[in-house]
Amino acid sequence: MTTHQTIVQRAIEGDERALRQLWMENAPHIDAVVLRLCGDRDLAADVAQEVWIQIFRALPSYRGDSQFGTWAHRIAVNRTLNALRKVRRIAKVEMDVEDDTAAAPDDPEADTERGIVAESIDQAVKQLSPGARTVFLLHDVEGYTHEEIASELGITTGGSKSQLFKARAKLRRLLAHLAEGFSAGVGQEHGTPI
Amino acid sequence: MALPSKELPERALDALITRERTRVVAPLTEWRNLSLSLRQEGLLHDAAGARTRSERAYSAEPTPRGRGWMRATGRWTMRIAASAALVGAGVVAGRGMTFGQSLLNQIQLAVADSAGNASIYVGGQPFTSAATARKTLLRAQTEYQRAAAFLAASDSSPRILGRPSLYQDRLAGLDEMTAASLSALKNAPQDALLNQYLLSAAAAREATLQQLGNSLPVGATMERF
Repeated sequence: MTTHQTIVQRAIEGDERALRQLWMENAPHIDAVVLRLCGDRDLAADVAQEVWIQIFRALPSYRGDSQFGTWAHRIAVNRTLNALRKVRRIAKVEMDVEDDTAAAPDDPEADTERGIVAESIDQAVKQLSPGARTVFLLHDVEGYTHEEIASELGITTGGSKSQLFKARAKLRRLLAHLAEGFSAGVGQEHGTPI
Repeated sequence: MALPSKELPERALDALITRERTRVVAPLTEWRNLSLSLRQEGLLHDAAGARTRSERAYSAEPTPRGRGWMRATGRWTMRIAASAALVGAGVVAGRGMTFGQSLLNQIQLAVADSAGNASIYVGGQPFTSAATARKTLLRAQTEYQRAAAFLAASDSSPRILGRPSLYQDRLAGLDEMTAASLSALKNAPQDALLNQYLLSAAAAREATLQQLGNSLPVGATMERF
């Protein structure tokens, strides 16, 4: 049995040191996922607590087929989306996605005229509609497929793709002022703000 | 003269997304609160054991107020230097001198980078972009935490039996480091550099707790940590 398996086994048995070690090693990544999806630090703090309880509750079902972090990541996403549904945020997302025609038109000119810019992708994502934001984060950042997103959010794959397209287009406009740094650089993020 | 672009290129957006994917944050919860919930859920069991003088109660969370020189100085230069020293010293204690020095270099790099240097020469390896440096720092940080945890769990060197005070003193120092980092992060929660220091201190503290547990006399256990 490897050291990691031993730690997991001890955690399943309720050993505080083992539980704490798993939390310490993985919280920076798992909590980052929660924070991204929630978009609000106070809400994320509450959800993160729920997420970790759920992870430890589900620990006996962890078979070691994948990295613990990968396994925990899935639970974190599911639990966070559930929590967001509870606060009726996802309800709006699902409505937006299903009723695509009812959504407010994405007007690039209007964005430009209003002078909307974002200093970072984190800020820019917060300016997306809830539907586009969730789909973008799940697909482009968390690595979910459109089929998985559709299943997770109860929408169609077409709706998911449509929201992703809108999200990326809006992000590119919101972050347009960073383009100069990219073209002047060597193809890296040189010159972009942190 | 070309007009300013109204859209960020796709590849540039992809680069930003890649960076976002690897972003880490300081834990959003405190172990004290989480462990309480886990106990209520029956997922965490207290270890039974005889109590001895060595079984001082060790708080799992940092002391609310720092003490000694750290609080007295309140200067970031001191804090950063102390954090770097902590990381180096922590790994030396775990018999990982080479890696500790490497991480120390990374932290010095991060400090220099935050001052706006474009290219920094550290240990024979030049960095030409902040993104590369951050990626290396993150990797080193993660590796350090794993290595420290492993060494603490499987250390076969002669134990310092009868001298748990060594680790107790280190714990007190680490608590001050953590408290200083947490205090700083209240003002700048997204600051990657400050988050790195907090994580380093937290990882070193965890390793020290395990070393302390190993140094206690047979039959003695820590009541809580």
